[in-house]
Amino acid sequence: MDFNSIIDAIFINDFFTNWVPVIATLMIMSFLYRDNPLFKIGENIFIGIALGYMWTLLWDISVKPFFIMPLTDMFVEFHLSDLTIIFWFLLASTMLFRFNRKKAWVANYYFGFIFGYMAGMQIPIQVQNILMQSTSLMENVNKGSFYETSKWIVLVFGTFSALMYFFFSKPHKGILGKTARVGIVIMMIFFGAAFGSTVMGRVSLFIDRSILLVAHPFESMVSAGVIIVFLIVYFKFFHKEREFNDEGVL
Amino acid sequence: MKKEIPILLGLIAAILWYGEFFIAGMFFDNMKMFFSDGMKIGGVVGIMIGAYSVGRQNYFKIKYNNERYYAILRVSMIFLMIFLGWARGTSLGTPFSSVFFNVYIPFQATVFALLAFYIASAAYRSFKAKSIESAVLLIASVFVMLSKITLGEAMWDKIPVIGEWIVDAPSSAGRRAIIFGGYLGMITMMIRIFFGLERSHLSE
Repeated sequence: MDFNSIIDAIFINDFFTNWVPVIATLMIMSFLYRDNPLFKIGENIFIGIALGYMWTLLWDISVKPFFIMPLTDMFVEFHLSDLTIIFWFLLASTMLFRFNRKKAWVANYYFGFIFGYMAGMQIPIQVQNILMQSTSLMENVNKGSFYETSKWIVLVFGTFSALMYFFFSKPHKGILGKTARVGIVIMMIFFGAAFGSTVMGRVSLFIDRSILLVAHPFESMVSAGVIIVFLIVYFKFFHKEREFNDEGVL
Repeated sequence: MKKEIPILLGLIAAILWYGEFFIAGMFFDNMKMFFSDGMKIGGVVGIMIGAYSVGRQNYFKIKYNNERYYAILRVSMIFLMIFLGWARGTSLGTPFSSVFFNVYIPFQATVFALLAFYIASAAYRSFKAKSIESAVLLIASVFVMLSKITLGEAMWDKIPVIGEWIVDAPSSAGRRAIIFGGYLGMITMMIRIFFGLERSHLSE
């Protein structure tokens, strides 16, 4: 059995695919009772895996094609334009000076460039976005039914009145005040709808987790039992309450 | 000199990029490529700085016993993923993807699913129709939530239609207005950077 087969055998097997997702789910759910070591272990595994996953992918997507490959090609056949990579690498490396308080200003050279570059790039893009937003509203009023037409009317006048709420060059009195008030209502509807959609999204995730637990009844029962016993033992014998002073400091 | 030269560098970069938007030519194309390389290499160095920062933080946590064992666990998991990606690749069917689907996805989904409980508990305590605005928010959220489940349709068959109308018309209007404001704010900020009026991104 070679080395690669051993790694495959550890991470691709029925135990790993059936037990680990169930244990991971229950470890995080244990937080619903109280903050506990199992949750913290799960939390740190999650952070570590997420960072490792992201960096490994970024190595393939960004570091290798934009830096490592041009650098190795440079040693095979050198072009004068290859010096730009060295130049930008040295300039970008000045960002490391941000870790030193006294020399933090050295990083200004790269930040100055990057923000200027973004300014030059973003101004035409954002102007185009505004124009596209505005032109997409300019459509035929008659949509065929009252339901669709009412949508369009509320969309146009709602956007306008919500924008008027942010217009602070004149006091919000008279027509402007009434329009701004409609704008507040429109934005409240938006916040309410956004809240409703977020809640339903989270609930659907929870249902998905529940389906996973139901699909693996034996694993779920055993893992839940072990976690409950651990929590009872931990909070009964090992947990020490943190004491806070009057200002809420530990 | 600590701020003037960086601002000048930024101005040159902005003018050259902006000029390329209006004037076609080899010079501007080359300049665009030159600055694009700068952005890409900046991203690469950014990843390295991120790795250094995470390593530094965890090193101090381990050294000064600030939740030492959790920091060790965290760093081990980072190395595990890097090792798996390096040893067996990142494509589907590899140990790397197995860890992603069987560890990362369940953890992430459960962490976000837990928020449902806390959002519900916060909403129960704070959602009170004390004014017209808060009543509107409450009613809109209830209709949108009911419109997304079959129970809503079972209660009254018009609820999904009303929910769709709320999302498509007034909610969309509010979102557009906020995005519009964001675009205007972005343009203003970029113009300030362009002319060197905004200097908060530069250190003393």
